[in-house]
Amino acid sequence: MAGIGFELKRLFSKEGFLLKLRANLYASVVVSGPMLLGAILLLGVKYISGLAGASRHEQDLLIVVITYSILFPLLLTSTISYVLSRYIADMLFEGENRRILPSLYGSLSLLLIVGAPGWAVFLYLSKLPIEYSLLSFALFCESLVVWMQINYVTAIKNYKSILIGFASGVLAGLLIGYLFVRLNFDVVGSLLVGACIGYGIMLIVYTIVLHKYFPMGSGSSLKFVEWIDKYPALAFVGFFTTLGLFIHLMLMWASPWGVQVHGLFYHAPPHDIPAILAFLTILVTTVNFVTSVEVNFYPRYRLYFSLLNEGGTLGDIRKVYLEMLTVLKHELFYLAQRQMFVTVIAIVVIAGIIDNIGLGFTTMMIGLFRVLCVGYALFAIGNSVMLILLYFADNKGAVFSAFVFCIINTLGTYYTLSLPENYYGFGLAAAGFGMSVVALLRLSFYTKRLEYFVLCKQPIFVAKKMGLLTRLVHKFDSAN
Amino acid sequence: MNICIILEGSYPYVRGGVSTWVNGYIRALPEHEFILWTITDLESKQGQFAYNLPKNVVAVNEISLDTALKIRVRKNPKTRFSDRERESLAQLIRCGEPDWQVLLTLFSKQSRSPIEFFMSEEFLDILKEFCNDEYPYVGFVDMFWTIRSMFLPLLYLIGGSMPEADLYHSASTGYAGVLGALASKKFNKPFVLTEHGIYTREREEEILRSDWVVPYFKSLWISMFYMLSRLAYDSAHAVTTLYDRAGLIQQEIGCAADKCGIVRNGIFVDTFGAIPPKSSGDWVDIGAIVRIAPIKDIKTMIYTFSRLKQDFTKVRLHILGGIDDEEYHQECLDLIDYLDVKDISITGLVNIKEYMQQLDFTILTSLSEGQPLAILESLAARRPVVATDVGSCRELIEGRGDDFGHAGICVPPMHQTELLNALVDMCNNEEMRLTMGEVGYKRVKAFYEHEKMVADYQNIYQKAIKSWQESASS
Repeated sequence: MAGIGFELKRLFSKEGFLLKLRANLYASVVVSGPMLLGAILLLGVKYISGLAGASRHEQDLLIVVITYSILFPLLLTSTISYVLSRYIADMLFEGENRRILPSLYGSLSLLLIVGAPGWAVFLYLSKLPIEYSLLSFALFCESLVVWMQINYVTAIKNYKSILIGFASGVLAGLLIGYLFVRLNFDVVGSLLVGACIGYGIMLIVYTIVLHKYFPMGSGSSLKFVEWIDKYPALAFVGFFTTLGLFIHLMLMWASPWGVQVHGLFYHAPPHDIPAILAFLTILVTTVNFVTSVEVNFYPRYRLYFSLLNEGGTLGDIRKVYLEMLTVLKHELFYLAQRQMFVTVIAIVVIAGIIDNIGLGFTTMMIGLFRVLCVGYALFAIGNSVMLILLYFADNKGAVFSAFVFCIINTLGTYYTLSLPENYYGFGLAAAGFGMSVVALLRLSFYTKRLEYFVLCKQPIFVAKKMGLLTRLVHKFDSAN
Repeated sequence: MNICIILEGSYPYVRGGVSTWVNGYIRALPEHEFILWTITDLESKQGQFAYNLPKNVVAVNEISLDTALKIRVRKNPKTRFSDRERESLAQLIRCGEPDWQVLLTLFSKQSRSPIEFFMSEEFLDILKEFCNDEYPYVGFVDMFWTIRSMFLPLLYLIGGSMPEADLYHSASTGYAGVLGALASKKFNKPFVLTEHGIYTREREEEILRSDWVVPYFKSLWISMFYMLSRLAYDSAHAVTTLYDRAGLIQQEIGCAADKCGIVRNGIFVDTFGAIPPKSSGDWVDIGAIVRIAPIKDIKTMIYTFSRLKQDFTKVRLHILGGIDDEEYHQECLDLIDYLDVKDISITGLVNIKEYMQQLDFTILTSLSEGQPLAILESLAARRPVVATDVGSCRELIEGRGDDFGHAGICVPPMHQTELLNALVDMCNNEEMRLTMGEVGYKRVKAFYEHEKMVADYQNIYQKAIKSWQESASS
């Protein structure tokens, strides 16, 4: 007789579901730490070069070359850093530690093959002196490696190493740069060498940390590419958020405020400097997310999903669900409150201090600083909500939020360029606001129907779908 | 007349009682055209026929439960349901009394795919209500997947295309019963349900034994099959089974008594009656015409035979039939090895009529049977039978109100000692064997002739058509 049909496989538990997803969220959170330290490096370089009596042009050149050489690799790695984090989390979960290092070298080769020639062309077109070009090229490659390594170090939650690596690199770089300057070497060259050595130190520290933790590994180094096919949303989230965070800088470089420093190297100091300072104010949310939201929300979150996965009754699930949402609401509220508190202090107190001590700030720049503070604060809140969406596997919602941020910032900044200068910065503010609103609405909509999204929307079966990239990798692997 | 026979996991894919019956039945009615509507569990079995189809089979409509897994979800699934639809779906999931007409319309081709229902918020709400009411202490997600697993194949079957015919004839309840009932509703045609075994009970036993259904969901699975049977019984214009006891069970499950009838199995008695008696010799040869499967309890047969061998050296056991369960087959071989019994041969599929010449009597140790052809054929060939008292075996051996006498010995299932005693009696007493063989021949000639069976089914069709006309006019 025909059997009773079949039993549907519970894809759900086999996947280990959402619990693993958490790991990749750290990346985005902790990545802003190094970004902040990068900002400190820039300020340090500027200070030392000023001290050494470098010309205005030399100072500017230093800053733009270093900024460009670490910013573009960051944008490049952002395209795959979320996906890679997910890959690493999956491999860690499955105990496949040996597949992890190969993916680092695979992804590095991939990005270097794309990025390095691109950067070489950029440098060539900029007609930078050859020795600066070489240093910039080295810095580009180093920072690309470092950004990528950070994904891996965060995955093993070795935050201390990240910060130690970064801090020691920045410190050593500045120190060596300073030494060379004192020895009367060319200022720009010295500090570029310093930056290269600084990033070189980070690279070595992270390499040691990673090789200590993971085995040399085996298997395809391009296996992770399949994860781009599997979770394309993560690639978009990473890319849109990072691009959104910097697009207004680039637009300003291209604007009438933009000044050509050398070749294709532009900057817009009246905008750049307030932006870097304002960016520092979201550190509070970065820390808050890890220490408070994570700590208080995550246990409920985990309980909720383990109840779902491991046979919790409807009543229990309901109860934990309500608790989880209550905690989430509180945490997000506190997070926003703290961010706003710091932002208000920045707007009132810090802006006042800057105004008083000068630092070369014009009234216009102080106004811009205030607007950008609000913009980054709103972004920090929206970004946190977006991370929560990712917690709930709402990839669609997360991508949409990130996209809204990126697109409003692009169009908004572009539009404000046609307005009087005191409207500058409102593009970012509108983008942060838009992202927060979209992400919050989505979160509210989604969590109301949470069981529907995590259960019903689950496919009844998994179609073995081979994406384009996966097939390419298979071809590539079999050719070897 | 264009008759659609609906079959589940039997003809024409595997050999067995129902398959033999369908094959002979269709061939006996060349004046009618038949459509086979067959249900298998796996799509890979489609087209793998164990029979050459008779000429009057005009179409085969194959459908597999696992195809349900291949249904694609549309880009914009429709996930809203009317109140009536919702109520029917809720009843369905509770294994209650759904309005099948509503479900049929809802899931018919082009309208809605079952996956859309299982992915809807409506489904989640219905499930939560059900869980709250009936299963508050059961893992919700387990429940979620169980319900999806249970009803996806069913809704898929309901939504499939249905062949048109003048009369629908299901050979079992279950999925085949559902299709027969719904097609009869859809095209407004009479529906006949003729059961060999009692499907509901077979599924119930299978589920209770199974290790893949979590214990606290077993009752749910079983109630689903009861619900399906109720639909088939309610919709059928005539219902038959093979023997009285089975008819009573049908009524117990919910079939109206006035619908129930008995049509006994039939064989071509004379093709077996013509088989000459075994040429006498020192050896006693016992035949077991069975598939190798646990339900046939071949191990008890082997154990008992090994005890029989201690008293009789010149006795042989021939197990004649295909291997249904490879694992069980190996276990039987290991057992023979372990007991170190000689003179057991497992032949595989053979020509029974030829092989019958070498046999003195036959044995059947099944745990469950309907009206086994093995016994009918053995009796027609004047070979008495030792069989377990399951299904209608006793009726065949001892008669149902006739005075022919005993055509063999009936023993309780799994009872080695009683079985041994019966075998010893048979082996000791050649004269008794011959008398019993003669009784057997007379009985099957009188009641179990193929022609009679075919005529009986024709009468059932007429009865069904009449009842259908009456229900249409009232």
